[in-house]
Amino acid sequence: MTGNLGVNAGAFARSATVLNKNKNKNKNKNKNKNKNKNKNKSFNDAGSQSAFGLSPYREILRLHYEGNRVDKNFVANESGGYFKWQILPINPPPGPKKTMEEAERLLDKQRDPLRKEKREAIERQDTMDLSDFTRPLGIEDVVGYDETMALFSTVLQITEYVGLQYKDMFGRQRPNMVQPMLRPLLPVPPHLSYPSNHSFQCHSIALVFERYFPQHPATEELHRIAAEVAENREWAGLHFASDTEAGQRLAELFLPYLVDACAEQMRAALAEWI
Amino acid sequence: MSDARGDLKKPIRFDAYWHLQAIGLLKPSDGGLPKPPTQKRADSDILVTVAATYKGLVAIIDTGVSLHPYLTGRLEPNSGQTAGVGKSPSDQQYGYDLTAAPSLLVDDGERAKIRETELSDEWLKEWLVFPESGDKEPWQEAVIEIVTENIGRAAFNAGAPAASNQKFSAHGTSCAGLVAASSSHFVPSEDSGKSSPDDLPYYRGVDPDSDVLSVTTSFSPRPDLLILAFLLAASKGADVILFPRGLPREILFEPDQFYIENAGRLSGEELRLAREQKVLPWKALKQTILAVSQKIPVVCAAGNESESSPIAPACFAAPDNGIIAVAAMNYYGSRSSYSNYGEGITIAAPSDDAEIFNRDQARLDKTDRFFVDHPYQFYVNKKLATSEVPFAKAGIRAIDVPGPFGFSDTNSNGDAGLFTEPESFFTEFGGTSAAAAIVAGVAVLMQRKAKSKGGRKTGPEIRKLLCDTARKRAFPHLKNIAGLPDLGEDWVDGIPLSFEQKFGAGLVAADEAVKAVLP
Repeated sequence: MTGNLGVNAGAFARSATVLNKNKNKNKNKNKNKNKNKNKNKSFNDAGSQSAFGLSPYREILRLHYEGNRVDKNFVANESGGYFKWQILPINPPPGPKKTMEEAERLLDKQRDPLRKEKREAIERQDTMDLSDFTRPLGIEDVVGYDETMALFSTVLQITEYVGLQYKDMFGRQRPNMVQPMLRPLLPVPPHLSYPSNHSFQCHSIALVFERYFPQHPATEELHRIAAEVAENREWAGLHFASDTEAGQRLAELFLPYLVDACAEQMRAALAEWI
Repeated sequence: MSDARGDLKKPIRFDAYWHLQAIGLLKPSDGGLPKPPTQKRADSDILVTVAATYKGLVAIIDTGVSLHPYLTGRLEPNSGQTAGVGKSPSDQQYGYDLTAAPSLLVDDGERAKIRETELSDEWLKEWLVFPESGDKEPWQEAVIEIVTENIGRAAFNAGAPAASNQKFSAHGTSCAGLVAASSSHFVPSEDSGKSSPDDLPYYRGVDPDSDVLSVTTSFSPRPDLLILAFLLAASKGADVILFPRGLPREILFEPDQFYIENAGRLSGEELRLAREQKVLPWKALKQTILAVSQKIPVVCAAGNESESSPIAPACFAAPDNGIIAVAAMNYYGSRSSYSNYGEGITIAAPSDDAEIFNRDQARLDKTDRFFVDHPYQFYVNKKLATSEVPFAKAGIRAIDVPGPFGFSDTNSNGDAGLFTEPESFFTEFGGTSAAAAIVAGVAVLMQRKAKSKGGRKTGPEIRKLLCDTARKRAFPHLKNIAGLPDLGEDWVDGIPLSFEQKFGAGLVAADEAVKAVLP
């Protein structure tokens, strides 16, 4: 219905949680923490790889840990059984009637004059520019948050890897294939529609961040930003509303595996904050 | 200002468990040297006890609680989820993780049982006070729908892991420790070489004989999952609910606000539907919390913004419900600089302090090595800062997630049976979260006392007893301390605050409150 319900700058102060005060409290600890962090730094430190665009291979390997296998008696495949994170219980996409209804809603958005205003954000978010997240956290272009940036980058890469598997499994066509009257604002990505990877990725960033640093005043806001980025893909005509919802559910269900895979990076990122 | 300020340049000496002395639970120090945190307290130092045979359960709705060795045996298990991934299936998840809805109860049998026995329509009718005849309120219908959808849904992720495992649950773990941890809960592993808990650093929460149920929710604006969290806590038999965090700001939205934001864009019917969809679940959440608080107290943190009103849900606190809004009082008996204030505050409890320097007050840590360079005196003398308020360095000693994934970063692996790096197991904690956790501990002590007298008290009854017995002066931990600073007035935004605005009824008094629980 609306993309801007949640992103209302005037109400920002209200969103502060009771958790946020540790940030101030630990002011004096900071010095020690940073010392500690530098001391521990080594080439073997978690993180930094993906900050340079390299594959976060350690984290991806961890996903394939044997303990994550599904019991073969439960469901089998040729490669020795699925991993639990490959068969998370999200609802399959809706049938054709509901899909047409959803396409109608996208046409409404296409007609809405608000679409013009959203265009700039939609183009920026297409390439998963992280400034939507780093700006409210106050770390955009700030030196000293390399691990946090590396972690976000890792989350994006892992969730892309996982999300594409779900897209292939469900094989839902993009909205403009269903409703040719749709004029997407961006080139239609050459992969499938359900679930929305933008939604999955952004909600994963918000969830991972709140797992390790819930004290940050913007913790709650990250969720609204994630929802907005995800909904902007509907405004762009690239995703159905149910794609967006499924992406969020997938993020919630995948979180335990993501936290397990990224734990060392999260720890390194946390050390930048406290 | 008084000369006592000069003394503040020396580090203050405070007893490591001053917060338990302040609430009248631990005997105040006799004026000698403060005791270090490791020093075991004699049983005779504990001023409030309730027989352990009367059980108490505190539900903590927060970031999750890790199994700390000092919480051994006190954490309520859950039936379905596993702790983290890649572990053996026997690894127990403590409490429930509601970050994702379907993992609420992953075992189909258990799920159905809960819907039938614990969250049945009759149970909901009693707790949410459905009308005897006629239609239910729309929010009540919404709650039934949420319960049916989430607990009735078939699950095929049996053994689904929870994200709130041993990692990164420090905030909830610290709160749980303030309620129920004790070094005497520790069970040494056979190869640890530790013969008894007496060899370990001493720790004590407010009521180590009570149990803790952890309910994890995310900070995602999901009213449905928050509703389930409160219902689950209530249905699992919690005697007190601790909510040491805030609710998303949508809880305060009025339908009109939604209308104004969207009036130009949606047609009449669309607007009505959207309004219902957006606002009704939040209304249902608010009403659910209010209804649950009628049966059991819901202890909430007032929030750390130094604003003139507590955050939600603390701001709903009123004499006719069981919501208790807890403000933070620092070591000197002054409002912690961050603590929200105003008419909504129910009661205050001990916590730490934070430095501030603004038009209202200069409250600076004079023991900081950079303090000598601070030109605050110029601004105070020129009346640019209204007053000078002593900063209290004393924090609240709490337990931490063992190992590297907690507040205190260490290289220890956090083996619960070994105390190779003791600093990994403790942390300095504070905020109105810590204050709320302390009050929740007192509330569960009262509930256990009430059970010994026949049955537990309702939320409003506990609230009233806490308020009636709260201390307005003569705080026990300060009894034998000489040379305390002159606190003067506490100004915020150009206005001096009254005692009630800062602390509500006063400082929570565990001894008096438990004594006041009668049949």
